[in-house]
Amino acid sequence: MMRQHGTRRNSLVPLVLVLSALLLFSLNQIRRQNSILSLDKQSVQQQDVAKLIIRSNSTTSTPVAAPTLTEATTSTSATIATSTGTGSNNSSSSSSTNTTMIHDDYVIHHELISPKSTADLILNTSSSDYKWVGKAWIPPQGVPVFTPSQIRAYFTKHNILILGDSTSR
Amino acid sequence: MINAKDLNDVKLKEIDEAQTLNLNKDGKSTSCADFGDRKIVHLAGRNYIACINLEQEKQKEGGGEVVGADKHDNIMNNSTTMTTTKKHVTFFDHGILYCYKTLSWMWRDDNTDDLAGPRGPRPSGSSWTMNSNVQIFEKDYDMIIIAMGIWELSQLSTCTMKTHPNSTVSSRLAVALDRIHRNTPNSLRVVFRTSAFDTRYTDNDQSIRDANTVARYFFEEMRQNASFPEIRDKDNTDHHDSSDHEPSFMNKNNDFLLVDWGAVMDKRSFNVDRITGDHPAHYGIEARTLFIQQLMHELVKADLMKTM
Repeated sequence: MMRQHGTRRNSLVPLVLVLSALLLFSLNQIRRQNSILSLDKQSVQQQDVAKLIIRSNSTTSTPVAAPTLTEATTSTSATIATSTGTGSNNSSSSSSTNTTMIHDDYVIHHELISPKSTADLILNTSSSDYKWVGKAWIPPQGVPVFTPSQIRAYFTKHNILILGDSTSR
Repeated sequence: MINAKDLNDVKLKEIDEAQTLNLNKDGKSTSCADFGDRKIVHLAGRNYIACINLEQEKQKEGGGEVVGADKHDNIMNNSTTMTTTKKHVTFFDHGILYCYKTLSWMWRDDNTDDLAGPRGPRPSGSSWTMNSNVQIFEKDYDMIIIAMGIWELSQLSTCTMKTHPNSTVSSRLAVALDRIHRNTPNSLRVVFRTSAFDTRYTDNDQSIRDANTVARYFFEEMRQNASFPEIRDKDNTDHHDSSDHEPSFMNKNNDFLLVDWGAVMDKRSFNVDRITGDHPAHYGIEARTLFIQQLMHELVKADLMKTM
């Protein structure tokens, strides 16, 4: 009997080993799956960040308060650079013509939008700087088109006399 | 635009219809006398003026500052026992003025104005008397917008009548700008708009181009004088009589403004590119909205500079 018991016990060893191997394999699979999910999540986050990255062609228009990408997310900068298709190294020096900048989750800089304040733009341009596209006039870059409400609000605060010929009407 | 019913949907007819544009055309007098409180009716050329009251409900019961228009107490009270609604009224008037010589006359020195050329700004702090026209401007308005010049091209004989011999469009404008600069009180802002062009004078409009250049130089020099007083003082020493030792610059850099409409309109003035209007000297709506935008640009800029 004893021998029989010993024999059964011996015969269970491979089964236990097999089960243990299966358990380990499963655990590894779960870990791996979690790892893949995590990578996917990270990838999505990186893509989101990448969407926020706008490359500037201007070095002079860098907002002082904004952290550069290098400062903000050094570890992901290479991936982001690849995802934007530039292949450039964002950790390059500040003299680079491409300055990439993010601020938290918001874009604060775009190559088509000047980071200068509207006041600065108005102060540094004049009425002679307007351009044309067909019959439509275009203000200097970044200078706002004043709305009818703004215009009326301004004029109702002043007593105005217009002097001139028919071209002044 | 001032009178548009819906500022989010300004109709073309509200800003471009003939009735609006011709409010005071051909000598029509419009309502100024009806207001009773317009001193401009005493101005020469009073038959060619149009007056509008702009109303702005500013405040209810109690304190609160009425922003702007503080030169006058143009307030209409509508009182009840509990609440007072004050309609603040500002003036938005238009007067006809065709020639630069008339502009000079409007801003003439109070004494005889027999000197053809520019006299230069008045010494700061010196006492002087405003002529009767400038007194009217000063009492009723805080901004004057001058938009003229095309008559110096298309109605030259009118603009050269009783002018000094050998005067040119440029010289007449130079005197006018000088007189405005010299005789405008500090409480009054003046905007000068350059002239655009008349299709009847294509390739024959150098006189108005020269005049526009004179205006640009004038305002640029004024700007530089304000920015670099040491150059200004040297220039004054060089150019003025030995009796004129006092600092002679009155800083109006923020209150005498140029709107260079002519420079921008130049590109839309000729041949197929012309933005046509109802007259060879007139343009379409795009030119008028451009002027309003340019005007706002320079006004806001001047306001900003005052805060610096």
